[in-house]
Amino acid sequence: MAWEVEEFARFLLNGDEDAAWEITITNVNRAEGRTELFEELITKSLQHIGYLWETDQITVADEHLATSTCEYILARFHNYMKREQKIRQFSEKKALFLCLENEQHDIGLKMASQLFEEYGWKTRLLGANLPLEYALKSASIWEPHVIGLSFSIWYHAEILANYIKALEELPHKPIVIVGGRLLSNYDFSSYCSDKTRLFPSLIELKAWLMEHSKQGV
Amino acid sequence: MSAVKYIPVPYFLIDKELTILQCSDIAIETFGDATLFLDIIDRESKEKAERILTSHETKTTELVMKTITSPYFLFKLKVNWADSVGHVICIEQDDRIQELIEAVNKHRLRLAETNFELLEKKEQLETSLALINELSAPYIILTKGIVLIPLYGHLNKDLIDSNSLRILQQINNNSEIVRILFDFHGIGNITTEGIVALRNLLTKITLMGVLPYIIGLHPDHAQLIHKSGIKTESYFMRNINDAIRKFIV
Repeated sequence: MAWEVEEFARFLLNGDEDAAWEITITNVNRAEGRTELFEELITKSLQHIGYLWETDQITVADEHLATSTCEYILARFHNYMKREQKIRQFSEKKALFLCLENEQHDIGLKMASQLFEEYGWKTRLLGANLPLEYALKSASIWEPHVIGLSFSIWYHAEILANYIKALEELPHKPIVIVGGRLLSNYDFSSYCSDKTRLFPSLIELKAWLMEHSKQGV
Repeated sequence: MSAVKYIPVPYFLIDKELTILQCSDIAIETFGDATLFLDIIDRESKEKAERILTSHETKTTELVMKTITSPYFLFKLKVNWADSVGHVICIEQDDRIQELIEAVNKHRLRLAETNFELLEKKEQLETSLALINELSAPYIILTKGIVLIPLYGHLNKDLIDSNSLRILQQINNNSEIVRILFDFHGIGNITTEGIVALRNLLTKITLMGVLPYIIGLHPDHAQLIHKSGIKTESYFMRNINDAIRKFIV
């Protein structure tokens, strides 16, 4: 069965939360699992919306409405999974998520964080546009095993390098992971250390999680 | 002297190869000096810019451009081609709209949170209500063979449904039970569905060989049950005193 990518994108662009939720919830029990729902439905729809902008079929203002609708769907989905007790916390592992300073797109971060929860991790989402000093402060107090960074603007690569370096130097030696759409088009390895992990999509992230979590689901 | 220089918006004249032929002073103030139009376009927008501009059609589009103050700024562009020359004006995206969008987003997130909190509270309430219903029909063994079930609250379907199974199981676990007394003193309103549900429960109790009694009916209850025309297969007694006197003393 194909994912209803274009239809879902249209509902996001129309701000039709109910219709978008309907598609999400009818697909939640598909055999492929949540990672695929995030990747094949949500991510692909957002990419489709990007394509619509590229071809001048929509404006950035339309994109804002779509993003906002998508955020709502993700928040509602998170709540739904909690209620259905599909999120279990049986691990002591902790993961912290944030966007670089001046990066506003945190949808990817939210999906990544929910995936970690699915694998039993405790998570904290610091959200978009977080200056490094706050990230460092938060990470040194909470001591997460993993720190997830999201970035989507390529000229922030130097800033990304600063974040990675500073966070990896923390005394409790967290693993820094990086996600974002640019990773599948550009090579950012020169901005990272040999310990940094880059994930161009949630599929790769899931594979890593299966290997590094005590128990899968 | 060309009037182009004084046009009060960033304005460019470009040729078919997208080389800048002329531009307004404000264009230079905004984007700096450039030879090629694509040089002032953000890397991620270049493909889109090239596709749209080289189509040589009159168009309106949005592009991310490099300004002197920011390497990443959204502009609306209007392009018109005449005699192989493109006329381009670039209109900055209004900051105030961005602020408004952010403000609306914040409100929206807050609303969503409140919404979910309400949902959670609703579920908690439903759990509590179920518990209250269960506690509204305690199972008290008065003496060997006699059980008293005082009912509290309103007699409705929920009250009976949340207790039926437990009562039947308790009867099943204790073979010595002969009579069950349902005390109506604590009952407020009664509904027809409640009476039907109770009747069904009483039938089941009878089938299990136990005699159900209804005691302490208020005159209003009696009238309602009578009016409903529903026949309950049970005995009636005036109050708990009579019952104790008759069965125990």
